[in-house]
Amino acid sequence: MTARVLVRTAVLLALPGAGCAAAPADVAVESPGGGAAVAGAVPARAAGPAQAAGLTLPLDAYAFSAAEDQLLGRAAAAHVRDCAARLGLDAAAVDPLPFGTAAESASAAAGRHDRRYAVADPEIAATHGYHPPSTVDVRREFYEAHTDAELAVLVGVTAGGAPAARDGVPEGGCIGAAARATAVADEAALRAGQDLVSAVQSEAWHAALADPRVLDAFAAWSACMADAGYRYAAPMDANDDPRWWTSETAGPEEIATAVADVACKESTGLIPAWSAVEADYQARFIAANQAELDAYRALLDQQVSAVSTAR
Amino acid sequence: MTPIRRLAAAAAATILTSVLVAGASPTASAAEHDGACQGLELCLYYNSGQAGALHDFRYRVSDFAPYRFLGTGTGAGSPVKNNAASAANRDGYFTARVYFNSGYAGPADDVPPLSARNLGDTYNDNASFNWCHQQPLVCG
Repeated sequence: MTARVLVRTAVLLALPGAGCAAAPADVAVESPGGGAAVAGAVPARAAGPAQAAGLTLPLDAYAFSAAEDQLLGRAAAAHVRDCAARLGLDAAAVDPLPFGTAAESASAAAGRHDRRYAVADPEIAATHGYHPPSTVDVRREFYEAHTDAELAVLVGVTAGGAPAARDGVPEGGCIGAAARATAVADEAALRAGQDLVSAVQSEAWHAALADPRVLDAFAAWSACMADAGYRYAAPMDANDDPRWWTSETAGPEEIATAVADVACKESTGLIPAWSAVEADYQARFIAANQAELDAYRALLDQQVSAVSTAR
Repeated sequence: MTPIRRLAAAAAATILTSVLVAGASPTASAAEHDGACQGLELCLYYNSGQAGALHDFRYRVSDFAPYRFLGTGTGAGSPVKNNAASAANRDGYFTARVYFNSGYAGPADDVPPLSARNLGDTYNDNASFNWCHQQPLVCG
């Protein structure tokens, strides 16, 4: 049982001396500005202006890469166009489809951890505070760009959520059918793999939050924030301050706090230190579940090769 | 919550691929925040395995603080924020990403289209959620 293995590992790693500050990190975290940051050694200077930009973590290997995402997206879009044409939908009426471009795939992959440690970029902090910069609701945009008749073909329901009132539409519409075209034979195994990745990520996140190296980094950040007049014990407390989340945009107080937050993250080297410890735990928990994760990665590879060979 | 409880929750995750139209009233349009889990909605449940009281969302939420579980099931009236144990995504294409922190920050659990799961990372720690394209996984 994979989960039990993971629990045992988590308990083992929580024991004093079983791999915390004493052991040098065997995992380096890459960030474009500053090369590799090694756990346990808090750098005096941060890596670059956007400290989380381009960050990779060991678990990223168990998700589609940008190139794979793009390949799957292209194949799905082609499938949807064929299906919609068969159902009499005009080619122009199909667009926009919710499949990304190559540029979107690349930037989504590069930026996947940009907000993992909350706001990390001084320009974003100065403009948006703790709020994410994008204000485009991709899903609302997709549903609002299409008529009910188009949605009935594309997703099998109308914008109101009612089932498509016409025959011949596959379950989930043409988009649902496209997803099934790359489905693996053992759907349950795929879901179990997703749950395992989620569990490893969760365990590593919480283990890092309890790790003395991270607690030391939080203390340094907290002292820096106090010097600037803001009192928070941990970075996510600042992000989650309920005062910020009563509106969809940042006010002056939120922006001032976020700017100080990013400056303190930079001056204390918080994100390189924190992410290196998290990467360290991810690598350990991955190793403890290697066979199951390899099997899951093989299922992802199957989906990619199903698309590659079909072309 | 202890790591072991979280893991037990993840291990107990059951995956039910549901039919989009099941349970949807054929005539009424699906209103969000009405306590009925209908097409195109993300539904968060108070208990694991899509049990207990629920709250249904049509659009992304940067902070769950204003919302409470609806209806008369277990947990009805409790805040949705940091109290959801499981989720069901009734959208046919978009992945719902449930975040540990407000404003789509921190680690997250993905709820794929037309699927249901117990929450791993975000079990009783859910603060926000966003909808994402599947390929690439770009969130709005």
